[in-house]
Amino acid sequence: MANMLNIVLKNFLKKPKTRLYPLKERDSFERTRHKIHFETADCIHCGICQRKCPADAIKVNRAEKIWELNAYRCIICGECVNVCPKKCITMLNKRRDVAENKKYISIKKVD
Amino acid sequence: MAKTVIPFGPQHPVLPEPLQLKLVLEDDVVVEAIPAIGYVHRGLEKLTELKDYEQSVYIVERVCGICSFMHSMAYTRGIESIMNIQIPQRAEYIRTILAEIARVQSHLLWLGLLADSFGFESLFMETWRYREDILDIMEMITGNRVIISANKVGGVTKDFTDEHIKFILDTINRLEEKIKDVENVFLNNYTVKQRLAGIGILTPEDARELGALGPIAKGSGIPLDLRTTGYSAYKYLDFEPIVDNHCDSYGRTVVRIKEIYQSFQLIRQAISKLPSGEIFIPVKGLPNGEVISRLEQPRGEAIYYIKTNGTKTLSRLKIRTPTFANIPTLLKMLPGSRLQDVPVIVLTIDPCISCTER
Repeated sequence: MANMLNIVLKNFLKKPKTRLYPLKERDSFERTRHKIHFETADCIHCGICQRKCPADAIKVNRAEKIWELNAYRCIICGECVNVCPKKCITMLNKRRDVAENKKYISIKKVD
Repeated sequence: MAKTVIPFGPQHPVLPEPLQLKLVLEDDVVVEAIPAIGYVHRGLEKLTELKDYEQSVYIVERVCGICSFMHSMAYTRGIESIMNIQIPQRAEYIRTILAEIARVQSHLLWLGLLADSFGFESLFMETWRYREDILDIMEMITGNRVIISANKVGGVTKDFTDEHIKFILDTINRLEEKIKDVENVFLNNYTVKQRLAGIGILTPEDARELGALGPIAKGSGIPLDLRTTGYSAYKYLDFEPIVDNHCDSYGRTVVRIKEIYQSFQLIRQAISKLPSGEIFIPVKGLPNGEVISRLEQPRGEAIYYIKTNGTKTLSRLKIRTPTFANIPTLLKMLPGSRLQDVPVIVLTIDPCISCTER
């Protein structure tokens, strides 16, 4: 009984264990995998990321210089980030935005 | 007396996974249990015959949502032995440490589910709060909480820094103290003991005969632990398999709690011996041959049969998960128990049905 009172009093004085989510977001770690980011400037459209992707989420069109990602197929494993020879693909530790539709995210290189 | 048949599952509040047991009851005593599985078959074994053998690491990781790291470890170890690759020692140690961290999180998850199965909500939440700290370690090192994708044929993808090692040691030191409080409730509380002691008895003879694995065998007094064969970096670490002679649900709880402490010890040992150097060696060529790769998962021994024919894809992958081997022991434990004890007994084998059906 005394032990229980002790715990109850302690819990009254402690900070809450949860956070007020929309107001305060959880900090991610440096390596946290949240979102694939693509910079089109250096891309040579070699297609290695498309071949290595285990979920077939990336499509590369060399002729039209288009790089496409299906965020609904992507499992965020980071394989494309590791294999990209020009380091155009990076992993962000920021949360992904809510998708507006289920289409591919299509990025076209404009010279 | 007239017999009643009650379907337990596939949807049941205590089991998040679809296992069906047809319970034949006399009054409220179970006479017989007939299992039915096959509700979540996903065809992952077949999928590996269509993908590149390196991509298949990500497929086998998704066989199980709890011991996913160990599935990829068994697979990569199998492919490496077909291709005669000796991975760097640092990679072996990192795999061992991550496997032990995964074991701790799995056992904490199970303790929470057990508390939930006999209706002890606050104990369930407390245990899962500690599990969050373990998941933070995983996220800090590899970038994800459970499906960590840290394995690769030829080594591991993520290295430890000094900061990570300090974080791991701080966290496990802090958790070890906290888990002692929870342990006290699980093992000494009168109410909890009433729900565990003498429930779901499995004698050592039955356990041996039915091929019990992992904590079920250890809880029945059989020191069966594949880690003692010294795969990966376990051959450099000093430990003894944990055994308990209660032979009931209480014994299995004791084994799992003690294994958490043992895993902490193994993590400390491995970190103190962690060699420096490379974590990955490049792999050339394609695998050609067949192999059986085994390792000790939180639930027992997993067997991977891998057959390759010198092409990019595998020609056959067969996975035998520990839950599949433990279902016969469950059918032995259930007869004679009362209906209200069935959820607790089912949970003590730590069923992972999506693992079993792949």
